[in-house]
Amino acid sequence: MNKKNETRSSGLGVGYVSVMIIFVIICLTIFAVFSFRAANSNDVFNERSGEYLRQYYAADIEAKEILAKLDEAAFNARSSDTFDSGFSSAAADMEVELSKTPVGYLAEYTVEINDRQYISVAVSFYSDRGCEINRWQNVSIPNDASDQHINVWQGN
Amino acid sequence: MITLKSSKSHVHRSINVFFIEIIIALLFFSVSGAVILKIFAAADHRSRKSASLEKVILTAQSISEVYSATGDLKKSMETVFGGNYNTYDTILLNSDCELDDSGGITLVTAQSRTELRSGVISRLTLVFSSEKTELYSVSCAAYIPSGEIKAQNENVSGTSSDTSSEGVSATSSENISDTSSEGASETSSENVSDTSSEGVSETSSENISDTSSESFSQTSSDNRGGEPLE
Repeated sequence: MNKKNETRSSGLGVGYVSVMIIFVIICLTIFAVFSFRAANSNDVFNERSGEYLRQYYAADIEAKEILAKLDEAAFNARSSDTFDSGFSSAAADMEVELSKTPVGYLAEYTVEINDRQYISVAVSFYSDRGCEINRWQNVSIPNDASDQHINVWQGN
Repeated sequence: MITLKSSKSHVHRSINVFFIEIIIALLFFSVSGAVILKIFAAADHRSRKSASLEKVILTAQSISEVYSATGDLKKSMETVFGGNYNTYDTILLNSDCELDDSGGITLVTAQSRTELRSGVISRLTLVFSSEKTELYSVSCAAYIPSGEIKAQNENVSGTSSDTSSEGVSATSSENISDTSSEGASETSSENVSDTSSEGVSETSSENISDTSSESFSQTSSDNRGGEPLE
């Protein structure tokens, strides 16, 4: 009889509530940490994206300034009637690769965006008219580390 | 009788222990719940900030792309936001980066132009801020060879006599999109020299800064980029 009373009165025993509370808190903590990490990684991604955009347009500005200088040099060379010598000497001061074409010059140069990418530009300057952009392209710098294999045991 | 008494006291004791445990558990739960709520609130705040920044970056990129191709601030703004506005120095945007006078994001534009004999290089700085805190800023540039400027001027002068100012801007916009930088090759050398002596030199000298690179930091107070060179 006494034993029956004891078992009946105990109901939800001592310790069950603590265990449940601890379980709920652990679950909530995990959810909170995961949601914070998700929001944080999204924020970091957006900040990186914004930083890349800034770097890209900074390089784009630099590339356009070089183009403007080259076009100005071509314009001056055209005005002085000595296009070949005038343009090549003016472009020699800039970090530009010049190659002669039947109708003028092809100028090629690169501007670094960051340590992984650069803008590659090729512009044709004609001796009798303006210029023509042949290439304005983002190029990835090949990562040497990606070509390296992991040093694992080959089995011999 | 004795056994009944002892069992009753045992039940009372276990109930007391149970209530004490519940009280301690609730206290612990409330404290840890407050901390967890704080983490959730921080995550929500960061998520909202991130979403806002994402929209701002996309808007900045859109404006910069159009500006890089055309060198025309008015066209860039109209392409991105729509509508026809007189000034683009300061623009109020809502959290979705749409034009809204009661918006919480302010976009300030600063434009400078450097005139060369061969063309015009124009630079644009966009600064997005919210409650006096800078959210994002980016600078971009456009180089328009004089051949293209002359082509724009010719088209604008050909249509501006009959049309309203809206018509002029629409015409110039079409011409800008048609004549990309590759189009410079179609201009003869005579046209280039003519443009440098006429088309560009006729541009208001107060508005266009000198050809020095320091002019980049100059802030435009009027809507220079929107108006075609005449």
